[in-house]
Amino acid sequence: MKKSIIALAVAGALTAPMVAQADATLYGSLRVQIADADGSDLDIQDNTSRIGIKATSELFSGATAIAHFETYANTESGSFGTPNKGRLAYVGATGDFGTVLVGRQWLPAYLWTVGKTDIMAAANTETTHSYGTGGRQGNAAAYISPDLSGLQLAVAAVARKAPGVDAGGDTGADVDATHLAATYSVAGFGVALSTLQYKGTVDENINSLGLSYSAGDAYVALSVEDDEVNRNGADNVIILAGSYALGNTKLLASITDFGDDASNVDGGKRYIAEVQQKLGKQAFVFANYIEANGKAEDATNAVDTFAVGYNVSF
Amino acid sequence: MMLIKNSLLSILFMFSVSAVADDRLDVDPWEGFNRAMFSFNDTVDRYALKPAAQGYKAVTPDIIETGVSNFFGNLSDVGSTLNSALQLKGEDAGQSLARVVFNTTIGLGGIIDVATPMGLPEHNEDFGQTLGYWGVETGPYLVLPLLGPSNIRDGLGLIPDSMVDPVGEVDPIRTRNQLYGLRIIDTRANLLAAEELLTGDRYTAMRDAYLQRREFLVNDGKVASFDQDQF
Repeated sequence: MKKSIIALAVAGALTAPMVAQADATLYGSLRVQIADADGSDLDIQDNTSRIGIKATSELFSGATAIAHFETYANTESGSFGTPNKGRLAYVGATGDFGTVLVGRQWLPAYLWTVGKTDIMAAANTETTHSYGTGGRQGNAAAYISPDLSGLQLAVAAVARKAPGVDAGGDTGADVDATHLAATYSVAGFGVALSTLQYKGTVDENINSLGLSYSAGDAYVALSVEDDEVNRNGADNVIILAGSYALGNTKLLASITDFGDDASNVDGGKRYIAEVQQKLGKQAFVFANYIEANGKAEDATNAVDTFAVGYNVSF
Repeated sequence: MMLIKNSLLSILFMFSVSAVADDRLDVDPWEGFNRAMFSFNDTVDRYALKPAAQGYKAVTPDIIETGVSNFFGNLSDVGSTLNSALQLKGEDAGQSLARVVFNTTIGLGGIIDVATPMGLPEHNEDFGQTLGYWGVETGPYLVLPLLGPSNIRDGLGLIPDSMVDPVGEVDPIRTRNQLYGLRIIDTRANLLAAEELLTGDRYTAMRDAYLQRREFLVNDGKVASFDQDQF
């Protein structure tokens, strides 16, 4: 009898906090890779590990409130984040009207267009796109429409009191941006357009296009980005990427054409091949090889790199 | 009545013996040459290869033997990747490629077979099987000097196989030859146990085992036809 009472008390103590936290999900992905880059020492390095919390709760109106926080979890230093830099921190609401998000968030400028070709597991393949100016943006408010028979529209504003942006070297005051994007998908085919227009000291735009097609285990995508903020006067960066899943094995490849820079110097091309092997629902290993041609190396756009990594998510 | 029955049985026996003889002729019309070559290979094996393989097994710890076999198995996966692709087996080609990548990197140059426990099965494919997949007949059974049992199709397939063999790219030549030698000993050592199963006429047993094994591999383990009346 005494045991039953104790058991009930223990169960009650355990259950109460679980009920209170039922709408929150702790998640993360720890990623480590061994990379051998041409001209550098072999490095066991972090591969953009992250940990986050997602929470939802019902509003009186029937809509759902959203809170999302995600930061780096550096597997080299064992610390959270990097100085003055996290990943996501926003609140919002979603319902029949669409989704409204405020705070540091992914903009459709990345998610809907260039994100289509950002398919590799090795983080050092993600060098063509500025996440600081065209990806995750702080001080942002966005409205994303509901799915209108495959069509979605997005409008966002980035309003900073403090000067400067996260990357790109511009430190002038009043660096704000407006953002418009649209995506349409039907029968495995997707097309997306985005414009991110900076105002103030940085008076340039980032325009991008994304196309994708998936059929069964095959996926192919093309992205074109005209980044006047970080590559003003340079050609568009064009990426063609594809993958094919064979059960738990996935083969991936991409070609990047960096185009000419502002001085009309060819930025070269980069070729990437990757193979991923799922070890379970939440874990996989990968091997990635980046082959940069001479012009891409000269322009420091890419460097020959071989990497083997292990990702575990939860 | 008894006489008629015995006569019928005798005729049936004669036909069946004749059919077996015809089958043998079909697959092995060059038996005379093949037996001579088999005898030569057997002598080389008896006095050189087998003692070397036995010695290798005797002095080498099992873990080293496994590592050596894994190493050469990893190299053979390169050919399996190519031949799976040539046989339009996309999944097998992808898995073989992934095996090479992961065994070469995480598996320390192929010494450790990490791919199999990762869920990447080995696909043993060569150019002879590729030709078989596309309908090329085996041709007569052929015993090649030093290389052993083969047939016309598989013998020709050895040429492209050797061209995609990574050992052939090893420089200097001395190291390359050492690797060739080690692979031969490793292969022979792995056959020591199987050799115990050969009984009766060794030539016939080895020929039949080889032909059945090749048919099994070309059909990926699927029996091409099964005549229940034969049983």
